[in-house]
Amino acid sequence: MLDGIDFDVDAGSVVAITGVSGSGKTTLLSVLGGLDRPQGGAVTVGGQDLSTLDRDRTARYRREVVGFVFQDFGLLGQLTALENVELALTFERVSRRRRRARARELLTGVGLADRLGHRPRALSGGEKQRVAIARALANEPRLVLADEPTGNLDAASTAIVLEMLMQVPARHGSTVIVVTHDDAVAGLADRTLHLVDGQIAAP
Amino acid sequence: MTWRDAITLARRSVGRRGGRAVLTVLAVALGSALLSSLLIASGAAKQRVLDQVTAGGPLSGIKVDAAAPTPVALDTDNPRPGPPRRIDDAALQKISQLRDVTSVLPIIATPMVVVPPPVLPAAAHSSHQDNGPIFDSAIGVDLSRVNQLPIAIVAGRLPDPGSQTEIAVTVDFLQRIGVTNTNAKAIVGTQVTMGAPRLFNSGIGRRSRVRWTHAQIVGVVSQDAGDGLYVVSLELARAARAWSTAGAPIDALGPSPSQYSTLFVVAHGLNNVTGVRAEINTVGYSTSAPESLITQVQRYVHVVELVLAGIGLIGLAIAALGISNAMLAAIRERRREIGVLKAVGAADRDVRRIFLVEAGTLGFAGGTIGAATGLLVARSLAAVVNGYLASQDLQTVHLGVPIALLAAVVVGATVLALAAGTLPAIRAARMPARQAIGDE
Repeated sequence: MLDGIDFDVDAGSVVAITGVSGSGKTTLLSVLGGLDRPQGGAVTVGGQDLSTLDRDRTARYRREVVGFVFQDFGLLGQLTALENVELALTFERVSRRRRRARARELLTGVGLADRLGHRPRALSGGEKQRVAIARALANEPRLVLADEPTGNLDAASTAIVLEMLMQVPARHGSTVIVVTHDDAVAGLADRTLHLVDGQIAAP
Repeated sequence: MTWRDAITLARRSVGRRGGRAVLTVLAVALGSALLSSLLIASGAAKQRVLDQVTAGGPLSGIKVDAAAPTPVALDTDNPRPGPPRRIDDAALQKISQLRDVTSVLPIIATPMVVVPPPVLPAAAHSSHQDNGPIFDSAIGVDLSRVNQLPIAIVAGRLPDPGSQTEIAVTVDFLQRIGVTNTNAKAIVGTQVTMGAPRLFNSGIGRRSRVRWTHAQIVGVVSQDAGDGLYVVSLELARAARAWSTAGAPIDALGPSPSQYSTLFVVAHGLNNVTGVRAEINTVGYSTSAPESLITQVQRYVHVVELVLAGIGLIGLAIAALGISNAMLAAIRERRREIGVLKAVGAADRDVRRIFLVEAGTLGFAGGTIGAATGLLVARSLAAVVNGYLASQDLQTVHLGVPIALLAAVVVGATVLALAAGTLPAIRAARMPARQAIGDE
């Protein structure tokens, strides 16, 4: 449950949202990403009020404006790494050749050029999350939303994934909002919002 | 999302859940196989029975009697014949040339005496202690075209065409010698003495003389080609008749004065039977044909066909329910995946399309496998049926490959699967995108 949350995020920054379980972090992320609809109030992202969008326009918003990185990666097991990244462009009706080139470029960028044809079950946790980051960036989103992106990773993989997420604004121009329990993650962000019982606590 | 991308994704999804996909495809294949095999079988039965009836065959045959027609000859299937009128080669030729006549088979009935052996085989279990000579008629037919005649083999085989020493006896003959139908096989191979009688006048009055010959009973038949206990080759009957008619003037016990006792005319289709009968009446002969019986047979066969198709469709409907159930279960299991699809930009229509294509893929695969299996099953059945028909010297069934029927089964299974998958696909499309992310 969120209650009276009102905040602005600078474009091209990294914002960490922290809080204990049940504080509303993930709900906030869902609302920002158009996965959920607020029961009241307005959610404005880039001047667009999400609460007024119908299902088709909300889908387009998710397709064009947002990229998601999930704690458990959210990769489709039946697709290869390359195809998982392509998937984000499939719904945009980008030609097969162009989306394949884009997916290859992104996967190379996250250091998985030699893992293009591997299915998720053949990848390590860190590699899966790098594929997920590549997929989140495929449609050149203005907003990348990451839900506990290092929650299932070991220390070494966490370091790599965090480094990549922190570089996203500089390399891709996107704003990154990261929901995390990890103070170390929050420490790397440009700004941290702490949620308590669905409200932003005073810094 | 394009259809091509949806097909690729659906194919991968089906492949990933191999076990469930195989079971679902098997269910569809079973229904499709049932439908296609039943339709193929009923189609073959229709070809074997109805086509024989409607396109010409023993069942649609017209018997031409050696008699003139009566004024009400066409009002009944079996009219009372008029005054005797001989059937000769000229009449046969004339009737052959009538419109819508497929073939004309001459039948010669001639008197014949058969003397059974003093002791019948033990396996025959004859109830008679002693069998004397049996005087009746031999029916001579063209044994090379016996498929067109109403003759069915009960045991053994028919005499070879042109044979002078082989005869087939009827089930009535069995009764005359005290043998039941179930023991018919036992008398096949029995040697008998048979002879054509000739009447002649002597100083002490009219006497008969028989030209005896040895013959073998090669089969037992049930026949409606003519009145007689023996079926022989046309050549044997012709020779016997020539011997018999060379004697004293014919009387009631002697051979018919007509060269042919009956003609068996096959019309080109049941619809033409009445017309051909009328034409033959015009030529001057009485006819009979089981038209009303055949019409009823046609109706029954059509009903059987509808029932078989209904059974197949029920099978396919059950398979469709299986698809629907499997898809609904899959959607419950794949809520997270659906959420992820939506999170990366899939609209409701994209999700709907993916699941519809999955259902269609299962239906197409099941339909294809089922149609092929149905064809194999039908062919196996046909092989069994053909074995029986061949043993009876009857025309076998040819199934061929009914491409249109098989294609219709595949298309039908796919369409049914799409229909069955529609509700699950709509339900998947309406699932909230938040399934992609776990609640706190």
